[in-house]
Amino acid sequence: MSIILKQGQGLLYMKVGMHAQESLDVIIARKTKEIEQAGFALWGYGGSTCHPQTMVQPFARSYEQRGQVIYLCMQPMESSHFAEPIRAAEFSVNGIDWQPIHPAINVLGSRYALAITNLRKEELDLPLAKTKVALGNSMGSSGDRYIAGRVDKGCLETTEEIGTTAAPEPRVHIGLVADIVKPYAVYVRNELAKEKAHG
Amino acid sequence: MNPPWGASNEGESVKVFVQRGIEATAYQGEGMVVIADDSELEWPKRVLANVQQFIIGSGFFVQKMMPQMHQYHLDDAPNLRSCNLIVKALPGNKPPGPSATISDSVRLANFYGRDNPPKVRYVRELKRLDYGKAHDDEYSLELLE
Repeated sequence: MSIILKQGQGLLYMKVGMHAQESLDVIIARKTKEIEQAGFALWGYGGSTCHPQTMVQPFARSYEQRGQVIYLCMQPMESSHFAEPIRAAEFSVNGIDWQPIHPAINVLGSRYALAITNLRKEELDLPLAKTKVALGNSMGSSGDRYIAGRVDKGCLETTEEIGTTAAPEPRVHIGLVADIVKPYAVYVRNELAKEKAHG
Repeated sequence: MNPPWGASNEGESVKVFVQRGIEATAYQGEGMVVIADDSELEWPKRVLANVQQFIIGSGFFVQKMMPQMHQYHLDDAPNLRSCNLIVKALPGNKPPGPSATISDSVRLANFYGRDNPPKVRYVRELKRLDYGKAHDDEYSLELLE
């Protein structure tokens, strides 16, 4: 199946590291089960370019106000780097008020997480030059200049329709797509942090 | 001063910081504002124009600008540069009134970025008995046999 992105579509692009043992189908099945049981799944991530509170939440809210949804567009790639698989016990929208994570949801080894539904396999060659950074200090930068070096994810907006014609270089191959839903992006923490905060 | 750069509010964050700085010196003297100055992005140009207008409206003038002076290790903006904007009060400049709380919520709505107004008044240190030691949730001890 292929997807078409209209001009002005908001998307959060990220690379997603895959286990050799775990195929896209297996990941989709595991996360889809979380969505069925909890209403949404949490997709863990890190880094400093898509901060939950200063980037993803205002980005998603601005699209929701226009009746639109932001897509999480993931580029699968082999990765040998994995964080410690510590399960997050609590999440917070604002970093101050915390609540337990639904027992069916497993976020391992991440500081932040995206709230997603409708996770599905989609095939799309995304020409980053036809996107721009939607907010923050690099607002307006072309996506192909922004996604470089240490920057491997970003809150982007398409500058023209994508998916109806052959994508020019440079392009990245998207293999996994989801809808980002409320509360969009959250902080997560583990049991030890929880015990410390509660004394 | 090195204020929030105002990418999401046309420089209003910078203007608030500059206003407080000018108030602190009773609308006299001189100062320096470090703000974004980038040849490619549009928003820094609008911010620079708005801040300079605000400075002139406050009875100051731009004495010197050192363009694209600094570069930072910002993951999300590795090429972004900033300038030094050196400003000086006009002779005989006087405060228009006492300093007051900023009550216009529009000025603060996007203060720390889009849809992120200031929320925290103070950051208080939590006192601990074991001050200076690593947090005990950061390590575990394995004792000698």
